[in-house]
Amino acid sequence: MKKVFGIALGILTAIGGFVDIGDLVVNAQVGARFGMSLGLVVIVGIIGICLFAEMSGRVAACSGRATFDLVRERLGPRVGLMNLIASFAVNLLTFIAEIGGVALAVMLVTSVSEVLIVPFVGLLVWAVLWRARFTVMENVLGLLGLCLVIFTVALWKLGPSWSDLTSQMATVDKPASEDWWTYAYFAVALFGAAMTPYEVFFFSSGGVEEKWTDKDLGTMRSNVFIGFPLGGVLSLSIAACAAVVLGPLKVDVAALSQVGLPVAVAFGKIGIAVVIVGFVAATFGAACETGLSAGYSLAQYFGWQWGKFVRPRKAAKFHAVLILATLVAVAVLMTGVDPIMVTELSVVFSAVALPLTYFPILVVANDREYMGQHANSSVTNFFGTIYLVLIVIAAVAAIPLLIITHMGAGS
Amino acid sequence: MGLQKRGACRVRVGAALLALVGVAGCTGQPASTSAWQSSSERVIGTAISGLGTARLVVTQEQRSRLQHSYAVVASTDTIDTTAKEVSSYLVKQPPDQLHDAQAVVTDALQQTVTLLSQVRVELASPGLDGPAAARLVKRIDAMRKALEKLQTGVTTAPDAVGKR
Amino acid sequence: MTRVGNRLEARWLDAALHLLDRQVLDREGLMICNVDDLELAEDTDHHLAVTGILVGPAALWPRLSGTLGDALRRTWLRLGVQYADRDVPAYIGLDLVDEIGAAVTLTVDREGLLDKQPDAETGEEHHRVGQLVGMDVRGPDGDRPGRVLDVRLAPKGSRTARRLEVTHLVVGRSRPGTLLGYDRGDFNGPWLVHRIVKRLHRHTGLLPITGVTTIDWEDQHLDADRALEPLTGV
Repeated sequence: MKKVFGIALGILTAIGGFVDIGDLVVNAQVGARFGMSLGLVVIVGIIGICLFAEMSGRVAACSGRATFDLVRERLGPRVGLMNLIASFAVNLLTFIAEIGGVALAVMLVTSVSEVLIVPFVGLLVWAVLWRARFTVMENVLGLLGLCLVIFTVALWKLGPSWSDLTSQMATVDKPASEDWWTYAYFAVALFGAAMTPYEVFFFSSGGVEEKWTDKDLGTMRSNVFIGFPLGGVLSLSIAACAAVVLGPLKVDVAALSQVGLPVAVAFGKIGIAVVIVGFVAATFGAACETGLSAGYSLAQYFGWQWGKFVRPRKAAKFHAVLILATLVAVAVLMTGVDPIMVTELSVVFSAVALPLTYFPILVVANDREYMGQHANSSVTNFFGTIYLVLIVIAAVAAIPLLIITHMGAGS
Repeated sequence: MGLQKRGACRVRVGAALLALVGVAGCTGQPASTSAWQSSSERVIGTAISGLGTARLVVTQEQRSRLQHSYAVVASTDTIDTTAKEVSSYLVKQPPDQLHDAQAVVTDALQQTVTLLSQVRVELASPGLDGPAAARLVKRIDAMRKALEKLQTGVTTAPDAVGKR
Repeated sequence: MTRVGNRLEARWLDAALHLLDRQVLDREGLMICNVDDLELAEDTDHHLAVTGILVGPAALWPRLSGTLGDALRRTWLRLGVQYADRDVPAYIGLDLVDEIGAAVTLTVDREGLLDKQPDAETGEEHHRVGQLVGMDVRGPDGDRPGRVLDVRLAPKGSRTARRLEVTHLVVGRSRPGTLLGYDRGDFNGPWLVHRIVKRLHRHTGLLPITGVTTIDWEDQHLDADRALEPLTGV
């Protein structure tokens, strides 16, 4: 049983990367509009995040240093500060969106007004970040978030033409009604969402929270190679369900309520109940992940004590940052901003910050003085370099595509 | 690079970026036919999407496959999304020769929003029985067909839209 | 848990690569701060040695070059205009350092540890490694070998009277990639990055400190009387 819970960190990290509030909606949107033709991008993203999460987890296990420590050490304080500003801004935006997402998911079942739910959710998130043990948080949220596997089961129940779906994915069979610029925009958005920096901040810092040493490399790798592909499967299932049910009706997904409809078609009320549990757990988990990542990156840049593995009073500045972030998030959400649009924007901006985060990881994972015998193999380096090139392309293309396609509205 | 040179260079880059964003942002006034066509196509697509969602919600609710609160939230969301797109479409200025076409599109969009609101009202009231649901679905399908025809008209022959 | 041995027991270490911006941990492993800068003591014979760790915004913001760094430094001073020693950073003496590895570990607990940097003793002048790094180097015969990229230190003295004496300066032309350690560490890849960084740093070399004739701290340049030696690592 302990082994099952041992991979909860990987699952929770993957939830933040593949099925947070933004991904839930964007995956369904992409599935409905593009079918499975963007499926390969998700797979490329899964491989990429596995590669870099494994490297950052290995560095954390071998040296006790989390990713943002390396960013300042290897890029210097000036570039490190620019990275911090960009990463913190993205983290905060996503944190705001995730808390909004929890409220949206809760409002699917109750009719309590948003004005009351948002502060309550904020309070709950902060209480978990303040008080709950790290392992309890990751186990409960990670495993409840796996309720989203109902989408995979629903897909099977809906009985689609599997050969059609796979061939659409494999041959990148884009529907004629969409143009390639919009395709490229969503490709960059999905790639950026799969590899957001806060995932490696959270995963490597979580590894330090769990006190990994080089004896735990096996556990670390199980976390990576089970957690992230699982997250990717959930992502693809949501897209496929939308492709099968919503696509023929020409539905353009813009709200969370639309995402769960295919499961109603397959399983009725019980399915919807499971979906809602999954939505709440996934968005709550993503909120914890982004909130903690914001605290981790700030504390690691300045050298403050961080982490839930020490009592809150020993990490006072870290927890102060978390409180402030939660207050800001609640305040922003009370203005009625749409959390889904916030997260779609933040994904694109995080794609721009990707290279500055992944480059130090790739370098330090090769440093034999840091890693000893666990430094990168040439195979890892080969793929790492390819992905670094892909990341730079995505970073450069992100904002122009955002402008050209009007955030994916396209034609 | 000297400090002043770097500063001046940054100001130039900043100004260029601002100009780019400004140009991209000023897409509010379609003066050309193709711009009007694409924004009309888009908003009709949103309306069709809203009707598609409503149809799904009605059929699933009628078969008791949706929680009542979920169905209400889903139909409210469709109204919100569609109405938002429609209201931003209404303030756009069409090219001079397409005023009639704009009127036809606007009329169809407003009918759609009315229909979606009626769907929500019926969903919110206790119990949606078989005949009521079937009636709604029929109206939704008819509206969708009309919108699809309109969308084709807008794309292929915008001048013909609105001329009876 | 760290792979590196204690660099305090090695023959040399590089200030920017191995010491600056590292996490400082206390005796129990709790995090205290980062190494924001290093105190450089210049004695009457103009020998330079690192004698302490400098901590805090007063140490960190001056290290950031350009308009961002200036703005941060000015804001820091402005926000505390009523304080007498606002630009004096906090200080950790080198005698409190137990180990320099992936992080810097101290021999004491962190409660009440940080005090302001004490004044220089008579005959000694204080500078910072952050001022030395980035300085323009002027060689003999109008040569311009580049800037100071790093400072090579040799640990000397016992635990209680520790000094890190400056033995060489790493001098070269371009800045990107200096902190990656490809030119001086034990790296096996990735091949492409290694090649690019090696090419960027093909003119980098070592300048023994004895070859430095004058250092102008205000104007940020120093004069050397000889050419660079090849860079040795590992």
